[in-house]
Amino acid sequence: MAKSTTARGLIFIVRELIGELLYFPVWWYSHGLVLTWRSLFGQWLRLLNRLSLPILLKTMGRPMYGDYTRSGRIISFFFRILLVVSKSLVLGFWTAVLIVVMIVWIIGPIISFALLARQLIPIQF
Amino acid sequence: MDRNAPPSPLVLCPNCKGFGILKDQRGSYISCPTCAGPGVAAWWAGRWWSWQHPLTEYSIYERHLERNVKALWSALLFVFTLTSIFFGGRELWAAITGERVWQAILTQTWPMALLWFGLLCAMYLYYRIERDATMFPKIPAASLQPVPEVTEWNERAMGDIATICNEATLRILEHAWRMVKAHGREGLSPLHILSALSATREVESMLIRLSILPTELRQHIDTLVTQLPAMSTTPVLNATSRELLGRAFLLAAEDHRIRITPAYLLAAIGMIDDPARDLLDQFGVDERRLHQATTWMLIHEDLRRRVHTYLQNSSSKPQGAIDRGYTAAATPMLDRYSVDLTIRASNNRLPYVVGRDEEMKTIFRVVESGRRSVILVGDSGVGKTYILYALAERMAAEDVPELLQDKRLVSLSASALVAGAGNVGQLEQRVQAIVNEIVRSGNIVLVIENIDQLVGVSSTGGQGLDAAQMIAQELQQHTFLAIATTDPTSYRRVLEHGVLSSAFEKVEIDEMTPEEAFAAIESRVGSIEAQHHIFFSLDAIDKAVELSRRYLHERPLPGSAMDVLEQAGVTAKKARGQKTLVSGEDVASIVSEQGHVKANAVTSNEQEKLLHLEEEMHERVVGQDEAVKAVANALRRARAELRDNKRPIANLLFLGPTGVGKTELAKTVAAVYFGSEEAMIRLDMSEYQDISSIHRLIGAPPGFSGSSTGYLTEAVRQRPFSLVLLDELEKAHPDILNVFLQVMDDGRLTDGNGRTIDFTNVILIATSNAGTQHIQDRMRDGASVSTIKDELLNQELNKYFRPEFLNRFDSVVVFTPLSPIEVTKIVRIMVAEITDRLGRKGISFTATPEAIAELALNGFDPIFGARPLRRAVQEHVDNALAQYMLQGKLGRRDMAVLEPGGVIRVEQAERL
Repeated sequence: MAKSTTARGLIFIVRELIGELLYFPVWWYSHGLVLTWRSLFGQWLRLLNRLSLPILLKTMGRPMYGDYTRSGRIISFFFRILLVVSKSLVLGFWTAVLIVVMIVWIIGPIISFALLARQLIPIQF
Repeated sequence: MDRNAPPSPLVLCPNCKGFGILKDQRGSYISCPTCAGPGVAAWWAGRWWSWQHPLTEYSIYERHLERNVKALWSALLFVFTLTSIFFGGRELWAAITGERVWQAILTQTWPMALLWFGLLCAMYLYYRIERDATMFPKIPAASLQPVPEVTEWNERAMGDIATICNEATLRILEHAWRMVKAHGREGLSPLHILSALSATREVESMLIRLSILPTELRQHIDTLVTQLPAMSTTPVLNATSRELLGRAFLLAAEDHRIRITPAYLLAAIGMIDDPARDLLDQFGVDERRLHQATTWMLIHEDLRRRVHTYLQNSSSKPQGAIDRGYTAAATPMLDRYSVDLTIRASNNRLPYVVGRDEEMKTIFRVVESGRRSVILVGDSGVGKTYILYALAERMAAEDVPELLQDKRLVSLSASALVAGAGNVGQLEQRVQAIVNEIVRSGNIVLVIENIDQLVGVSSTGGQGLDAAQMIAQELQQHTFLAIATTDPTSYRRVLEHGVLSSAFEKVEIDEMTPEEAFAAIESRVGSIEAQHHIFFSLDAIDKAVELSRRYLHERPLPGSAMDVLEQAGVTAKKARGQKTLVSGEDVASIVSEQGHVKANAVTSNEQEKLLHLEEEMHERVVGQDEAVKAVANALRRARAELRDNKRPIANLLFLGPTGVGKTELAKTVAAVYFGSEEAMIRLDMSEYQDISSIHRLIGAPPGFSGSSTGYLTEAVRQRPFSLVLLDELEKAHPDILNVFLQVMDDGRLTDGNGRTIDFTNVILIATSNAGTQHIQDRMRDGASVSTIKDELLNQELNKYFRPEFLNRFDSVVVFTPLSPIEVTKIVRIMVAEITDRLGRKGISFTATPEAIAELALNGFDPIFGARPLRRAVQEHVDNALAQYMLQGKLGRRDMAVLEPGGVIRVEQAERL
């Protein structure tokens, strides 16, 4: 039993320490990447929905607040343009943030590892 | 065994019978040579699954160690990461403020090395947490498939059930194993698992809902486990425990769960043949009830998830009149007389709705097919409002067809609309303004509950259009959408042939099945619990559904059951205070009260009474033992719930001469079983001699003259738990008797309104004088009652009734003419009644045996039976007593003695 315990203990340590460490980059760039992409894309869709940009674009030609008068239509058109531009800016900003997060996910481990290696290994550039 | 039943997806090894191990010749345990260990295998998703996790002290220790090492490792990593990032970050921050960032990054310093290493560690930690949360073995999604024969027990090819148990389930099994060891028993039995389960918070709450006290359950288990075989070696999972785990796996898989949770272990106990199941059964919890408990838990789990998703999705819904495209206009007039259901839903202020998916699909189909408005037609309490709530939730979360997206569901209040519209034309102005706002706004789906209330509502004195017609006109032009509700009677009465019927597409909302109602109530009952600070047991909900369906026909399910639960909750709270558990008996009491029925359990007093029903009935009915026995047996069967619930409690035909006690027995039954003679619905069938009188009986259908409610159907509808007495049955028209064929066979009848009246809780007694002469002649000849009955059924009665009609009776009872001794007994009963009446006036009364015999002789008539007795008693006793009392010869404390010759002797009390 003691031998078996030692063997099992070793297997556990190998699996937990070495196996897990080796699997970390594999997971990060496969399953983890997909999960992160789905999460970020989901957030982007929710943002799009919240800003109602597709609806605004679809109703571009329709007057606002049911005001079908000539002046109402003109005011609506320009106000809609203003809305679309402002909301596009918000969407653009958050899209950029989400893209940065995605990029950080992709290059984060590589950069960190490279810079750690640079710290540990004396290489002259 | 049912040959059509699907094969069980659970198979036991034929060699070891599910144990996984066998004893060899020396008595030592060896792995089963056939299955090599698993013992039990379950078929799911195209492969066999078995429990392969060793449950030994060593394996449990190993798992604990592994869990602790992992936790320690993660904790160390976390601390190291934080420290590294702190020191490294400080260095980097100093570099940033000193504008030497690149230099700091590229220069070899230990804080910078720590920073990058710490960042890598942080990512590694995130990977560990995320991987543990998402990457674990799951039960594959599949449906039940044909089960193949087990040709080879290959453990390696089988899925391991242990890997798909969640952490709590594994801990329970480990706890159970430790108990086995502590108790010194051989096998880990389902009793140990039940004991371990009862100690967990999740199952504890389930047990309380099942009206079981966990401590009491554990005490019983402790007694039972001592009877299990003592330990001879290391405890192992016994065969029933392996079967239990297989069943739990299949239950979870069939419920489309990804892991086995403790609730499924509990539910699976109800499916195995084991003392654990018997123990739960002793507590009144069977497989069905355990399934209900699991459903309860799943519904609440799903509701939590749904609330989260819906709230997330509805967060972008505008909280006002304006849509997201800014095309809608403000609707101040509409807002004044309405409630925005979508806003309520997005603010989580509407109850969540379970079920009704089919109805929702129908609504969407109608709306999408031609922009048609919908009218939901269903009885009050069927759940029409909840369908509107469900629609509001889906509209708030934009989980609806495109036509309904970015729209508001606004419920117009008919009462608010009409209130204060006293001036001529004011109501019409309001309606027109509201309709104009809706059309102009373009983002409103109008809800009009009970639209029938708007029909005929006008402030112009009946000239011009009413409110409903004004709305209908707009709807016909498809300028906006509306969803209205009404009940079937109102629909037929005011809508079916009017302008509204062409404006709306009818969608019928049927009563929920008991199973659907149970699930719906489980999801809604939380609001009553929160409001009154009480808890409902599953038995209470089950009884509310079952008893409401059986006895309360005024409202359909689930509304009727919800009403009963609310009342039972309030009553229980008043009686026992807050945080009380409302039981099935609390609910039964409310139903008994409302429905004038005996819905609660038989008490010990009533048990005694039921066992001695004959004696009690004989206090009023003299002789006629066979009849009394037949009735008493029917009543006992009914109260013990052994009768056929789809027919009346009993269909009895009483035959015999007049004045022998047929009607008296019926009255006695009403008094003894239903609590009062008032519970007797008496129909003199001689009033139904022509076929047209059927409309008086069950109501006239539309288009016929007469009331649409019949005497019989209305009486039974209002008092479903009663005795229906059909007196002198042979005098009714033969076609009218056909009506009772359905009553006696199916326990229901449709009245002139098209309503189905439930007759399953009535006792139907028909009396008839048919064949009286034959009975009297044959009694004189000395024939036995059974012979007379056979002769009546085979010859005499066929002149009056068709054989299929007679066959519907559970029992045909022949009442024999009264014997002189029986007549004397009846006189005694009548004298006792007089004694009782006079006793209330302070006067004592008695009759000598000679006087009683004389009265019996004078009052009995061979043709009219005991009927002239009452007259004789009135003439010879009551009249004389009245005279004495009026003359002042008989007063309080005096004693009157009836003597032969109708003489009343008064023994005056000494005057004080």
